[in-house]
Amino acid sequence: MRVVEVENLRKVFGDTVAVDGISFGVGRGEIVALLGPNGAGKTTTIKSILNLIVPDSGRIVVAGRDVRPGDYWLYDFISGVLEGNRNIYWRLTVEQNIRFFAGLNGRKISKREIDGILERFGLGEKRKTEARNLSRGMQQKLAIASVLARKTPILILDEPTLGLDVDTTYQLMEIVRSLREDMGRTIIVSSHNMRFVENTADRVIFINRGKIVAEGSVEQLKRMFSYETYMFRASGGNISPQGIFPDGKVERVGDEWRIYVSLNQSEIYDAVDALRSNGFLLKEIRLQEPDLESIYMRVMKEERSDETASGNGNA
Amino acid sequence: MMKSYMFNFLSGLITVVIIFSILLFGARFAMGNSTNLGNTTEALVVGFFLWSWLLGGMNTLTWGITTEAEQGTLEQLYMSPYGFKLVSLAMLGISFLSNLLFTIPLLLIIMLISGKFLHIDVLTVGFILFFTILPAYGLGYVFGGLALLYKRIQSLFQILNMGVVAFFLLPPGVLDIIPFTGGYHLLSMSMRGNLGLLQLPLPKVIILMVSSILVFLSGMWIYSLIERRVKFLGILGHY
Repeated sequence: MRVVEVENLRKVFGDTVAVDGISFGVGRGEIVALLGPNGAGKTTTIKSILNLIVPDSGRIVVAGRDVRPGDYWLYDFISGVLEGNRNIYWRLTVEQNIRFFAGLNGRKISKREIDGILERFGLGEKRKTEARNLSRGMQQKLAIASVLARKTPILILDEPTLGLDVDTTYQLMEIVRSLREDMGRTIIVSSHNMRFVENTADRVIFINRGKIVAEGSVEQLKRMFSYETYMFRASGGNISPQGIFPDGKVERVGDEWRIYVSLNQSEIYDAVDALRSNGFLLKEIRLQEPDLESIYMRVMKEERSDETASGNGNA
Repeated sequence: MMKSYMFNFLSGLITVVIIFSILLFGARFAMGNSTNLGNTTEALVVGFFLWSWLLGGMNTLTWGITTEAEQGTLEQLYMSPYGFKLVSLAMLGISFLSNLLFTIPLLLIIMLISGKFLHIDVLTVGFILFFTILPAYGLGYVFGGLALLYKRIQSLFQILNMGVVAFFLLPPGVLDIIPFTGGYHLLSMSMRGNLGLLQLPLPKVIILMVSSILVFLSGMWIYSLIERRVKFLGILGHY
């Protein structure tokens, strides 16, 4: 059953088309990630779902009901953290923030429930600390914990890992997964962090220039693109391999080159010829399991070439 | 947390008392031993007391909305199933109580400094104050909405903060339909003339109530219009 449906959503700001006919649905207990470059339309989509932006056209359905401008019944079902750590009261303590946000949804939260939330987020020792004295990572966690206290079945997280270190990102990844697995929450997340998305999302929606350009589970996307990604291990060479494969990813490991490049099968021979003719000694060619980042780069590259071909390359 | 708020409270109170003292002693210096000095002092006490209330009323939503937008919590307030209107009314209720904590000691101090101990019938003063401040909250909605739309309205708002005093200087009569003017005159009559609510002229009290509610509701309505525009422009949480 779909708990959020977005149909033909369109929003224009001045001359800029922010969202151009986006449609997708989110099932109960699903984690869906919106991925795309800055200005792709992710935040506009998210804020439209949250009824914080009035779209020009299209339909938003939450929990089976149409959302109209000015409606606020939907906040019994959906809540969101926007712009990470800016969603909390800096002069309130961790516990006071959680109580306040629960109160916004009319909930008098029990001490036991607060304890549970603080434990889940690793904030137990900080319950009496003012939010302004927490690290950025802890503030980010507190923002999500506070929204969790509202107890809505659907959560929207806009850029939850923005500015976080690797360790905190990993902790947040675990938390987001546990929100679905232990608490059955439905989560829509937008992020630039591919590892975070790859490890949390059931389904990924690539958005570019206000349109959905690819959609599927991480596994589906990997299958869709797996035949194209190769890793060449080579040494020597008269020039940098980047000169031969401008769109590829090139790494220097000791005296060897590792070249990751998306090719179709007929292009492999041309690639091998190009490497040999430039003095490279080829040691290995391996079909590479792509990660989400390489899929993302590929999709966006195709988008750019489509725009160039149709003469619509201007931003 | 209470310590930091207490510092803010005390420093605010001291600042306002200093401003009052400058006004009072300035007026005394300018007027010398004029027979009108007593009346002027009484008017100054009532006017200053009401002005401090009105400032609190207008500031609550205007600065409240601006601050919430700046710190990124405004959108969180909007995401309440009670709706922002109810959330903002709760903000006003809390502001009313905190204003009470500020203005009661302020009134006592300025009466002590001026030597004019005015009559305070709690029911009458509370009633008139409520209906005089209500339109200030309405204006707070309007300026809060403008702050959402234009982000920087400090200059305009500061002029209004000072300009509101001009309403107290308007003569009683037809202009009593302006709630700040009507409210000031009724409050003066009660505090300076030792009059209870039932001794105040009923038509003036009714005019104050009606005009006050109208201005408040108009403020909320204008805010709704601006809010719709702000959501259409997608700038609700911008700062």
